[in-house]
Amino acid sequence: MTILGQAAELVVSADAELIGIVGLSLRVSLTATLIASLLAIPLGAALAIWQFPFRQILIVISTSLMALPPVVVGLIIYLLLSRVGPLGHYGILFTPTAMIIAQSVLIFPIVLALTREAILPLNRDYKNLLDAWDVSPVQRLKTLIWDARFAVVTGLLAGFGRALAEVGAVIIVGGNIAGFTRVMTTTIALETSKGNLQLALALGIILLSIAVLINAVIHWIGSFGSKYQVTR
Amino acid sequence: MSGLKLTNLSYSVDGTELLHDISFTQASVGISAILGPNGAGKSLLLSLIHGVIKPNMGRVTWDGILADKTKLSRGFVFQTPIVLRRSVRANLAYPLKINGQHSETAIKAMLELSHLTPLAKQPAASLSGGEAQRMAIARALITKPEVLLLDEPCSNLDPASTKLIEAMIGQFVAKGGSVFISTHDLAQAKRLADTVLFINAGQLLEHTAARDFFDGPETPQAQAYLNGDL
Ligand SMILES: Nc1ncnc2c1ncn2[C@@H]1O[C@H](COP(=O)(O)OP(=O)(O)OP(=O)(O)O)[C@@H](O)[C@H]1O
Ligand SMILES: [Mg+2]
Repeated sequence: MTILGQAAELVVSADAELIGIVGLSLRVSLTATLIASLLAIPLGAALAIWQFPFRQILIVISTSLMALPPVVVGLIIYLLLSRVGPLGHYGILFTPTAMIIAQSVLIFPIVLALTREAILPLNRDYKNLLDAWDVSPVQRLKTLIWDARFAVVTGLLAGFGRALAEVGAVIIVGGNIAGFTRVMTTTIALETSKGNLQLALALGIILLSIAVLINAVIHWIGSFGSKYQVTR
Repeated sequence: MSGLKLTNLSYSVDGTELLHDISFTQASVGISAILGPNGAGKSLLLSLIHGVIKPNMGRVTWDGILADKTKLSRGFVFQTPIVLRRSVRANLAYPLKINGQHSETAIKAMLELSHLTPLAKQPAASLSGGEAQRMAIARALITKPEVLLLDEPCSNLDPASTKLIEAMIGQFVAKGGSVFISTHDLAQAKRLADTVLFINAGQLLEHTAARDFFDGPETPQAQAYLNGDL
């Protein structure tokens, strides 16, 4: 059997090790996306709607974070979580929790920037109307996020995709421990270097499928959302 | 003092005075038409009257209370209708929702009144100009305001849509509401208005009964405007 055939066999037979790795990947990345989004979506919207102190600084910081290489984010989190680091006493280095933290940090600026970009033009459209009704700040935030939901979810999916595809940060803070912190990308890196191409390729196929799926959903959301866009 | 009162109101942007020392009182009854050439300051005046923008000098009160404190008792319709990226029905439901007073009956009645029932489920973005304008008025009326402020609600509309909107306005006034409407349609102003406010270059030049205004305005500017020379 060819390597590709064996890889396909692993996927189709739902190999236990494979399922474990895919499951952990999804759990870590979904949790990270959720945590990052809960903070980044309201903050991104607030940055689009209001002028407030430190606003420019926040935007600059988050843009720089976006340009930061994942390994550097991984390194910083490693230093914070390592036994001598300020958060060392929690003992979460080399656990899935550490990986979730690292991925949240990586996703946060992406979701923040995409949310802000989605809400800026919408707020320009809506501002006068919402002012005329004296809409409260919380209501305003909810209204704009809801009406930009297609673009916001797209940002969220982009963040999820990045988290899932990322290697550098999770390998540093997770340690790539078999059966515990080994996710799809780190396994691919390790198994390829060991010459165990079947498992690596099987995971590659799954990662690719997820990426295609995410982009298909983004595309579908885009075409659906445009129905509600004012074109006049 | 019942009704609207403007006291020495001025509004400027970057040192340019766009509205100059405007004072008048207007009881909350009937329809007041705000007339004046393009750029006279009609839209600005309406925004100041509603309290969405603040004057640099002077003040606006409704029944003695500052305008920006009583916005919820008025409906405001902008010159270009602002459409929420939702269905037509959700657009109408929105002002009720933010005030925590959802009412299916009110939504249904407003859809009927604005002749939008068949389009209720459509994205509001797909409405034509006239339909969007009707929706905007229905959305302003749904919270049962005492006063309706309309900024050129019938510009770009065909006669049938104009008639429909005038019917909506008429019904609102018949129930005791009062209306401020800016318009360039002099025939419409004649049909609807009880009172006319004529402004030119940021100054209120006339505030008189509509009949007197159209019979013979006092200022040469208003005369020129009516003749189509301003
Ligand atoms: N934010 C602003 N900054 C600077 N100038 C402004 C601003 N808003 C309005 N103006 C100016 O104020 C003047 C009055 O504007 P306004 O929109 O009230 O006119 P209008 O009477 O409603 O005209 P139209 O009939 O064309 O709608 C115009 O000359 C306009 O250019
Ligand atoms: Mg105007």
